[in-house]
Amino acid sequence: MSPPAATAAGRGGKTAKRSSPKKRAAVKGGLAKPPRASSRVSGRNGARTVRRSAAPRAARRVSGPSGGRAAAGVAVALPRTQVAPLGPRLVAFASTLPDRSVVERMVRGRVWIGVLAFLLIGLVAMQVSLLKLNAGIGSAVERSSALERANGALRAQVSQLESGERIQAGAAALGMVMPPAGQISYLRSGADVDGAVAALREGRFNDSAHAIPLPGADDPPDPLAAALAGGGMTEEGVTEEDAAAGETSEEAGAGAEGETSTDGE
Amino acid sequence: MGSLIERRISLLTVVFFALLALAGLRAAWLGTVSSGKLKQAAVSQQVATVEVPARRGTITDRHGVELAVSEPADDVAANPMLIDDPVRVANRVGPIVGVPAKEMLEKLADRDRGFVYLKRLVPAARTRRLEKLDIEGIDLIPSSRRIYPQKFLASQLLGSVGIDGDGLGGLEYAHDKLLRGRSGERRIVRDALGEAISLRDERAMRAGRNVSLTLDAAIQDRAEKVLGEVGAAFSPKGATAIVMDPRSGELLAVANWPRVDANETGKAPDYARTDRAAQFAYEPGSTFKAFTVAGALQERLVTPRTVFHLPSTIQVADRTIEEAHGGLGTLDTAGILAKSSNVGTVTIGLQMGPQRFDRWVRRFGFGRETGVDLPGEASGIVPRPAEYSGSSMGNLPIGQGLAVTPLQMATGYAAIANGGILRPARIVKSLDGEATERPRGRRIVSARVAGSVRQMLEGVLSAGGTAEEVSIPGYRLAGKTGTAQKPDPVNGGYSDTKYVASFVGFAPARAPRVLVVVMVDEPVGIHLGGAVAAPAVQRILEFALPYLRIAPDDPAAVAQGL
Repeated sequence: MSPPAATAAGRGGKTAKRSSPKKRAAVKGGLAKPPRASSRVSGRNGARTVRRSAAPRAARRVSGPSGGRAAAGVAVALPRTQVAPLGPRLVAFASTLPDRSVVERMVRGRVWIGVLAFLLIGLVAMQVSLLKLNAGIGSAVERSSALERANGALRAQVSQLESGERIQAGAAALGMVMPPAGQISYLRSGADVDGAVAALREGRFNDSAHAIPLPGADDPPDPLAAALAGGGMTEEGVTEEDAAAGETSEEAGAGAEGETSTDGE
Repeated sequence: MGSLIERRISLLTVVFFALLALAGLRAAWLGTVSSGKLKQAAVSQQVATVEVPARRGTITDRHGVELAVSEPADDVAANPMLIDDPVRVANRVGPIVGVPAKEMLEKLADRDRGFVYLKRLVPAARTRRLEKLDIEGIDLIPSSRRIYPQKFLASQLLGSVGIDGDGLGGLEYAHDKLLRGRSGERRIVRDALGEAISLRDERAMRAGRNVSLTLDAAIQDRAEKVLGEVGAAFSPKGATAIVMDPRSGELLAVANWPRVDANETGKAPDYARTDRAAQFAYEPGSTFKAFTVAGALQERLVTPRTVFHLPSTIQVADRTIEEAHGGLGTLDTAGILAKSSNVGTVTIGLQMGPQRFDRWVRRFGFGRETGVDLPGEASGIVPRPAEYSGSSMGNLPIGQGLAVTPLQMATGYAAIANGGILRPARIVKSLDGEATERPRGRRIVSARVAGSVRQMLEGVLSAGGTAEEVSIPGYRLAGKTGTAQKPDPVNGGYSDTKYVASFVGFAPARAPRVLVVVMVDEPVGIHLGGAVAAPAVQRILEFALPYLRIAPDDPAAVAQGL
């Protein structure tokens, strides 16, 4: 009898429930043992009654080397070791689990209350956090839909503001005119114009602090005017915006594949 | 003392158990007897399956300028059964959605109905105000509204979208499946406060695809403005202009006059909403002569220098064909095209004979759709040789007795311009940024013949040609004028007052990169193609050539303005 079982039996006089020898045999290795006389252990307050069956016992093995008889020319059939499949072994293990002393100790101890409480609280907390997560996802999706709608509305607004007709009307109101179609042409490529374009990009023309005076010149000349007078620009270095920027005056124009070299006049 | 406490404890226990029993009974009652009703209430109050509307794809030009976009909107609906004070609600909602309060009251006062639309497709910016009012019985159903930010630009080409989001015309109709996407379905479970606690997409929403066109908004704008000038000067019934890259068949502009605001197509008459470029069939007149000549050149019946001694009239069966501008005497093939000789072209046509002539007409793509991805394309009318009358060969070679569309003329001339390859026009450049397949072309005339015809067509714009006044400094132009009488359905034959003036031009003539067709239907006053349509082509080319950075043939001439 295991110690806790013995203690229990001693305290309350209860007989600890034990697994049958057959089950234990199966769990411990699945050895097929020869039939033996059945015995039952029972008793109260530790008293045990052993009832033996009338069946004859199997002959006990005589100690000493097993080959003794074989050596003497007598063949002996030893019991063959058989390993039960995993499934039944697991079932057997599970069915004996409640009887295990470790489990019994844990269940009967106060720690078990804490463990159960922890598991229950964890379960509830997990559910709550799951709900919170779902709610968060829901509100995020709704917010994203709302933002998408707002974005769509803004995009539509931008498209309307970008309308060529609106911009042309605005430009006309500012006194600008469309250059005659035949007056638009390109400038020849060249370092001067590239420099001018770079200066235009950086907005240096109207900012005296950033103006770069040419060597030997007291007053920095207007690089755009110099470029227009003597140079041209490559197509590679010029974007549509640059071309448009250069065409605000009617004498400037847009270029022809970098091959053309005329000004508009 | 001890027993008193014990009795109190017992009493409390009894009370506790009694309450517990009551709660249990109530729970059992709710869970069994009332379960059906409660379940139904929970489903209707907490679970909702909502439609997630698919965003309709955007239509842009080749540079990304947005021509058609979708804006979020809402359908405003009401459940009159839930509205206690219809007058008050009508007065509050009416001004926001833009419906007169009286009209709204009529809808809200009808208590027999559980659902009524108050106004559809109200912009989201306005419905936000309505949402804040939180009026019971007023619902907002999310939807989207199609807007055309460029207003008039390419409106006939773009078409329109109906109130339920279906494409009704133009590209919106032709590519509706791609543009509309697929609405999703979402199941939402809400808590008692209305917050979503569970959300599941039963069917995922698939947004519509963005369609990028081959159009160039700037060229389109210029073409429409030029047509507007033509409209103002000649008050025609209608006009159309096509700008095409003859090398690829890409349409850079498809303009129509009169203009229609794409946001209000419903207010425009039917004829104004028609995309004449693809749907209008007309007798082309002299612009067709280039195809007669090209066929004869390819058949080696004539050469550009073959000389014809032409009388002032020619009799074909019962019909006498005469020159439009008096007798032209002796002309070579190039001169026949340059001076648009009717007698000379009919003579060449007669040399070909009906069968060969018909084969060439069909080889250039007439009598069937070009295959452009535009809806409702007309195929034109080209009679078969078996249907010819005795005088047909006196009419057909000069572009009478058959009907073509401006788009067919553009693709036919593009084949001459690009060296002999007939290629369907193309309008959709890419879908969601993925380039669409370029239509395959097929050679219909040799490069040599195409080159010869191009050279001959230069003569049309040279001194003595029918469009000699048309020029652009620095660029060599080629083209052909057309002035065709319209059939008179009342008296039979051809009208003496109704004409179709047209011009097909391309530049630079030696390596064409832009081709323009302008067709003016029933111009008032002047009706000659060279005077009505050719200057329009010139003004479009004047803009398009430098805009597309096409180098002039003679840069010095550009500088001098010659």
